[in-house]
Amino acid sequence: MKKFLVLLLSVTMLSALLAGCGQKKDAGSTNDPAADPAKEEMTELNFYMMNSPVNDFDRVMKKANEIIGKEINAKLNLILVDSSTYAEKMNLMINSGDDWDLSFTANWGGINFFENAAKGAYADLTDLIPKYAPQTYARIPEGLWEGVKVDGKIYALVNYQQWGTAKREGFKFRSDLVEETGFDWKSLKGKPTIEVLEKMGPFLGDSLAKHKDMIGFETSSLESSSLYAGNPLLWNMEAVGDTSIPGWINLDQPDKVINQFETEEFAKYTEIMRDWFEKGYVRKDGATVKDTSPDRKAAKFVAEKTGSWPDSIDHPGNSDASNMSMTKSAGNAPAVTVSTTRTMIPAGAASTAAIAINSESKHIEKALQLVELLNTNDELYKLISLGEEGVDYKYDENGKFTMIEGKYNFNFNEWQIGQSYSPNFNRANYDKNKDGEIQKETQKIVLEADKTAEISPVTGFVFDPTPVKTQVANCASVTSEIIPALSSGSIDPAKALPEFLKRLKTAGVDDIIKEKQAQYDAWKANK
Amino acid sequence: MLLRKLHFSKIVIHLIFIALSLACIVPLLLVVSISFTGEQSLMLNGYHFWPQEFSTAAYKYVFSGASSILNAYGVTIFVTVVGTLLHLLITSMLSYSLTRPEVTHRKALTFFVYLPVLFNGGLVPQYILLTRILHLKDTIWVLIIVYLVSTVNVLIMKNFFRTIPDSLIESARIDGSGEIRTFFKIALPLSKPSLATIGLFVAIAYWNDWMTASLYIESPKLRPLQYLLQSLMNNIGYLQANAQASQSMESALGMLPSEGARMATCVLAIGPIILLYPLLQKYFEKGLTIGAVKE
Repeated sequence: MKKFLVLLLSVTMLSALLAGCGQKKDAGSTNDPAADPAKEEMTELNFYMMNSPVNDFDRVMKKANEIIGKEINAKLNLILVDSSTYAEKMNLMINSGDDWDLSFTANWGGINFFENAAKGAYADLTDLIPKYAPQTYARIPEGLWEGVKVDGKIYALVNYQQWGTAKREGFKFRSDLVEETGFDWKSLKGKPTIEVLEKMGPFLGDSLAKHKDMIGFETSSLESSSLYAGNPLLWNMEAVGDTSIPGWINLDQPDKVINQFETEEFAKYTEIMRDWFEKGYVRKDGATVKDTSPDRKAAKFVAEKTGSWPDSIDHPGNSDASNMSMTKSAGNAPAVTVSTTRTMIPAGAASTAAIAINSESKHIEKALQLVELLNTNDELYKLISLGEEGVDYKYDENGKFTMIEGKYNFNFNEWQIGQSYSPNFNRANYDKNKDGEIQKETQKIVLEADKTAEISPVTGFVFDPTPVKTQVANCASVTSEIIPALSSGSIDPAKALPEFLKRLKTAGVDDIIKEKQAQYDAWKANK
Repeated sequence: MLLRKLHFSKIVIHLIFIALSLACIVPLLLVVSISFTGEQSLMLNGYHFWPQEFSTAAYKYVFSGASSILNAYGVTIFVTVVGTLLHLLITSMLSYSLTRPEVTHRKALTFFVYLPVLFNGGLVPQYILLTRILHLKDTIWVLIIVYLVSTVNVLIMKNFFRTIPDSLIESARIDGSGEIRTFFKIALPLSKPSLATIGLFVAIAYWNDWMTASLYIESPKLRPLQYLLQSLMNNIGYLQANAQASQSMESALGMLPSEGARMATCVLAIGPIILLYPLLQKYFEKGLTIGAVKE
């Protein structure tokens, strides 16, 4: 009997709680948008983004909201969603018509910017941006807005970053080993990737002979980390639509869609990787290793692929180019960087990081004002991205930026909430010393290149995969199985490559190429 | 000849099970060892079964407030305890009624319980129901309510209640015991083994659940332990998979907790629940055969 009463009690408590929640939600969304702005109630804006848990988040958000409240009479409710479930959760919220105002959006990782824009989930901002977010619009290269258009309408606000959008790929080598072995890394500048790899091989061999505990080159079980499948620019190619769906173009013959795995380059690449695997230049378990960051932090790699430029030849002293990745703060792996490809703004540059507004939101204008504020108010932006100076971070006696351990840190996810770019570079954590000045110099070169770099011939083209949905899924299951193994050299390409191509054919790769070509031709004819 | 053969097969069987147990225990030991190894030594020497350089830095980091693990512990314990008790109460009451011949439409009710096994609405309708109609989003109850009834457990309990002789219930009734008293004083005490078995399953399910939290929980205060762990692990994979999308992601990757801290979180996450097994062991064996034999 007693237990029964307990149950009764808990059920009543529960319903009371539920009722409470329901009321709160309603109260938040019944603001009258037409109300007189002077007496306007404070608007609450829900902004969804990806982030790992952040310490002291409430303290910093409270400070941030003081600024936001003062400037635009709104309250930002920043909701951090685990990055591994973000895409699923946002698509679920969109499909179920749940309540949200702003969200980070992108063309990768299943977030499906173009699909969601096309089906009307995101608000059409074409006419509103110049009115409510003029700075956001004017600050960045005009061409980038083309990249977030669907049917001629803008559906997202580009988060233009201080590192620019133009891409140039290259390689990094441990500078101490380069000296030790006398490797002529400068001669690799501008060379085709196959040639680079062929020259790199002996260097890896020499280095490993002297340092047995190191690893020659990074390989990964992720298809997108494959030196070939995830990096079209390295091979003078560009993906038409999603990188992982077969169908790329060669930048020298940009009219013809090809199967990127049927090329001579791919065959040669897999042979080199197999050779390296047999010689022990790469990890033997490379095809199953997902997380390579421990190896990176432990300074184990002799060479790696990199996107960071200007390289050590063009601009010596740039700290991004003179450390292997993830070792910048430890400084345990000095490096030299050489860039080997052309400089190009890839097709997906604009939609790599952007903010979308819910088309069902009651506060679209307010949301735009918030984005404008985040992009123009440096104090607010730095508060959210770095925390409070002296509490969460400090500059040490040498002017070096250091985070205080255990305090607020935004996990470097600030690129999701706005433009880290500003004309005078005061929105980022540059060191207050010579290093910081060099970094700013480098950034200027990068941003200059954004104005002059060639623009991918595919920019603005959106591939609609629906007619070949089954084939795309079939091919994806083949590539995700074989690409990591071929890219890490763990299977022999002499046998596996023809087998792989045959399986792709059976999976319908030719239909995809044909469909891509047809859509691409139609789009070009309309341009 | 026959004896030797038997002997041989026994050895083989034993060997197989020893190998199986080792396959379960060895990784666990490794995780514990890594969590007690200094980060520097991990990078240089790799993993060892005995820490090369003993250090509790990882645990200090985890408890320093740098991660919200203590709070997450509280959430998980609350959800597990309350959830398991409510689940047992509701499941046992439901399945008890389904076995009583006095209850009309028993068949239809049973089918109603069974139906979701065959057809279920899927994720989007569930999401709409929980967020838009029940307004459970971002409350601790969503973590509990979603798993309150499980068809399999109802069927197991039902089969168990069937083994209680009708005459026992009847004599209780003759002695003047009402339905509720009969249930709590006679039926429930008799079904301790099944309660313990189901309780264990349910407690583990609640303890390990992170999916619900990832979909419905938004405030950091309400995040359960497994969700924290899951984010730690998955974020790494996700960031790596999409690393080419943004230069900043590389820095983001560098910010993730060290190997040791991840393993320490892992150890802390399995800690308490692993203690449940020995406690419930004595009921467990009996419970396993529940529903296996039908009269």
